[in-house]
Amino acid sequence: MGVEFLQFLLSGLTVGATYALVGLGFWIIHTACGVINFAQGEFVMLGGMATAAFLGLGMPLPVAIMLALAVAVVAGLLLERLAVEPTRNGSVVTLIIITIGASIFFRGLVQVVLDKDFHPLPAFSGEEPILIGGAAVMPQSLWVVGATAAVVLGLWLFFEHSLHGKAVRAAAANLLAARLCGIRVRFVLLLSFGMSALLGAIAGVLIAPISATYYEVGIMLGLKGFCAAMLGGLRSGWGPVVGGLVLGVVEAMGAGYLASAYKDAVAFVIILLVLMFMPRGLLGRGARSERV
Amino acid sequence: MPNSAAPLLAVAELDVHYGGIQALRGVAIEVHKGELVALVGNNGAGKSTLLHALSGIVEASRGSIRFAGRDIAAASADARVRMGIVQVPEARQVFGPLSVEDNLRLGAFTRHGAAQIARDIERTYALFPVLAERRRQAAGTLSGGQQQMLAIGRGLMADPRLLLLDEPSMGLAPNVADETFEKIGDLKGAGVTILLVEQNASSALYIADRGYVLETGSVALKGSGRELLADEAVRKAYLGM
Repeated sequence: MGVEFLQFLLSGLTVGATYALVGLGFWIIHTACGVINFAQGEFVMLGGMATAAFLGLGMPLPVAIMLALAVAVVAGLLLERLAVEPTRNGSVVTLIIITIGASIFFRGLVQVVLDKDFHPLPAFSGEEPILIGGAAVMPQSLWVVGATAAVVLGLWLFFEHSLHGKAVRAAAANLLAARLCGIRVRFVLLLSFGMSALLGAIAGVLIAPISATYYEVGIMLGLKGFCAAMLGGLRSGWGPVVGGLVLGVVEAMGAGYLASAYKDAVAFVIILLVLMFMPRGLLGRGARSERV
Repeated sequence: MPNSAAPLLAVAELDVHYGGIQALRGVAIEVHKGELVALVGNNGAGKSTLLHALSGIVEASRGSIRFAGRDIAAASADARVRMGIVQVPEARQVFGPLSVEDNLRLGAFTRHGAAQIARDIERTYALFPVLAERRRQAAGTLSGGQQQMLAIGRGLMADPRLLLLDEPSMGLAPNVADETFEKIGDLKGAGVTILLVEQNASSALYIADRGYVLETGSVALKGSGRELLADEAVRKAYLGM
C-alpha cells in the first residue's frame, strides 16, 4: 500500500512537472499581454516532433534536442511577429482566436512536413529503473523533475534579478510608465513568446521518451497545462508550478486507485470546479495585471 | 530668461487628434535650457495630450516638435527617452509590485554604465531620503506623496535633458503638494530643465520662469510666471480670485 502510494506519487510528480512547464508558458504570455495562448500546446508538440525528425536525420540526441528547441523558439517569435504584433490593438478575444488559429496551423504544418506517426524518443539515460523506497522510477522521470526545477530556478532569477526580467514585470504592472522608461512593448512581447515557446518545447522533449510524441500531442498537454495554470492561478509564476504538480499527482492517484480510464477526466473535473468556485486559482488573490 | 540661444524644445503648429476629436490645435511652445516652464489650464484642455505627444505616446497629426535642433516627430517613445525627453506621468504610476530600488533602476533602463547608474541611485536617495529608507519595499505600499517622489526619482534616473512633469500635485494633501513643489524648485535650482503641467495654477506659476495657459487645445495666453499670476483673466479663471 505504502509503496503503491509512493509509486503513484512519483509518477504524478513527473507528469505534473511537465504540466507545470506548459502552465508557466501560459503564465508568461498572459503576464505580458493578458492573452491565453492556445497555441502553447503546439510548442510542446514541436519540441518533441522536431527532436524526432532531427534524430531521424541521424543527429545525436543532444544536438537534435538543441535544434528542436531552437525551432520552437523561432515558431514562437514568428507567431508574435506575424500574427500577434499586427493585431496588438485588437481585443483579447481576437488575439485568443488568433492563437487558436495558429495552433491549427502548426498541427497541419507538422502533419504535412513530417508525418502522423507516433515517435517514442529514446530515454536520455537508459531505461534501467531506480528503486526509491521500494517504488521504481525511470531515470527519465529524474530528468523531467530535475530539468523542471532548473527551469523554475532560471525563470525566478530572470524575473527577480535581471533588468530585462524586471522590465517585463514593469510593463505588466503599468504599460504607460514602462514605455516612458524607454521599455519597448515589442521587445516585451517577443521575449515572452520566445520564452514560453522554449518552456513548452522543453516539456515536449522531456515527456516524449515516456509517452511518445505525435502531431496532436499538444492538444491534451496544452489543455493540461492550461488546467495547471488555472488551478494554481496566474498571479505569480508559482501558481502554474503548484497547479501542475497538484494536477499530476491527483491524476495519478485517480488513475491508480479509481480507474485509469478516468485519468483525463480528473483534470477536467478539477478545472470545472476551479473555474466555478475559485476562478483566481489556489494562489490567486488581488487584482489582475494590466495588458500590454 | 535668455531667449537669444536656440530653444531646447520648440513645438510649432501642433495638432493632435483622437479618432475624430481634435485634442490640440496649432499649439506652439518653447522651453529653453535651464528653464522651468509651467503649462496650466483646466481639465481636458489638452495638457496631458501635449506631454504624450512630446513623449511619443500619441502621434501628432500636424506640426513640428524640435528638440535640441532636431525634428523628432517621427522618433519612437523609447528613442525620445534616449534623447533625454523624460516624462513623469500623471497619477504617479509607479511599478507597484516592484521594489523602490527596482523602480529607480528601471528609470535608467535606456542607459549604460552600471557604476554611474549606481551613483545616480544614491544621488536620488540623497534628494529623497524617504526612498532610501524604503528601498526594498514594494512601491505600491508607499504613501501618495512618497510615490510621487519615487516617480520623479525614476524620471531623474533617465538622466533627462528635459523633464516633463504631469500634475505632480494631483491627489496629494495640501502640505504634501507644497513639499512636492519645493522639490521641483530644488530640481530647477540644480539645473534640470522642466516643463510642468499643473491644474494647481498658482503654485506652478509661482515657481515657474514662464508659463502657458492652454484652453480647449490651444495656447490662450503666455508670459512670465509673475505676469500670468497678475493677469486678470488668469486670476479669474484659474486662481479663483
